[in-house]
Amino acid sequence: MKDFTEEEIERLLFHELQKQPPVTLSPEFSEKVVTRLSRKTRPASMGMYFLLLLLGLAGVAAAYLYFFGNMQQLTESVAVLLPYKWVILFTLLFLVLIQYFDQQLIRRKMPLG
Amino acid sequence: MFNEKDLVSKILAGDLHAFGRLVTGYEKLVFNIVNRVIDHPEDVEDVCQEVFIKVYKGLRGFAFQSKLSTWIASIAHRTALNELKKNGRKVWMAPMEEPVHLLSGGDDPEKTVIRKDVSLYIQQLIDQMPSQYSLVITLFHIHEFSYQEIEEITGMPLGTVKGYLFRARKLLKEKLECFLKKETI
Repeated sequence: MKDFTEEEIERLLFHELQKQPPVTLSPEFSEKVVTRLSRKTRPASMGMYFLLLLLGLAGVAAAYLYFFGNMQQLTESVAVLLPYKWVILFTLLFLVLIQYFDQQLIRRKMPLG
Repeated sequence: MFNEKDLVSKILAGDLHAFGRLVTGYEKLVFNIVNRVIDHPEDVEDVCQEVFIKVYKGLRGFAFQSKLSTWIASIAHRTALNELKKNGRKVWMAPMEEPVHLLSGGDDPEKTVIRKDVSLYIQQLIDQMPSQYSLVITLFHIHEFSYQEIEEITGMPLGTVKGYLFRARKLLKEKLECFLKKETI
């Protein structure tokens, strides 16, 4: 077998240096990134916030019934809270709106808008 | 490949598939940089994902003052270095062992074996080099960045980039010469 000249060695080296390394990322890498991003940026809808609010209220009512007795006590408690209904409703609505606009703000700061 | 400005506009307009195309277009570049800096192969993919999340978040601020590839590469380099700081430094490897012979036999067996071995041998040598050497080699030869672009990506001074590249190639050439001499005896 013939010896390699210096020029051949250099050419061989430069040829090899331009080759991609054999290891690489998984074939579905870009899909993983896009999925991760879409999960991060998916905005929660207003309807979902209200649904969560209703579920939360239902949960509180169920816990109240379970731990503190019967339906009569619950209606009495509701009657006590009735004069403050607007304060309670507006406070809850205010909290939901803060969450919603916070999401909107985050979305605007992200490139996908 | 694709028109970078069009692609970026589409991404900024909310097209996630366009971002998927950008990821596909630059994943090798990002992988090669992260892989040269980080020593734990199991972490490389996670760090690459982190890089693209940063690219996505920072895209609105990218004003095409440099090439998109240079900008993405510099994010990849910074992210990999931060990860390295969190999880410990890359180990400088001991001098390499002899490479495994891939093939034997065939129509022109000796020449084929040497070619295949050279490929493997050089890849092993690059993998075992200090990360700044292998990184500069990768950026210059595989991704064809200029000295100035490598300076921008890595933050190394221009002279250092040239020095690393020169020394890395010299080292590889010397090792390859020895290897080929041994193989042809």
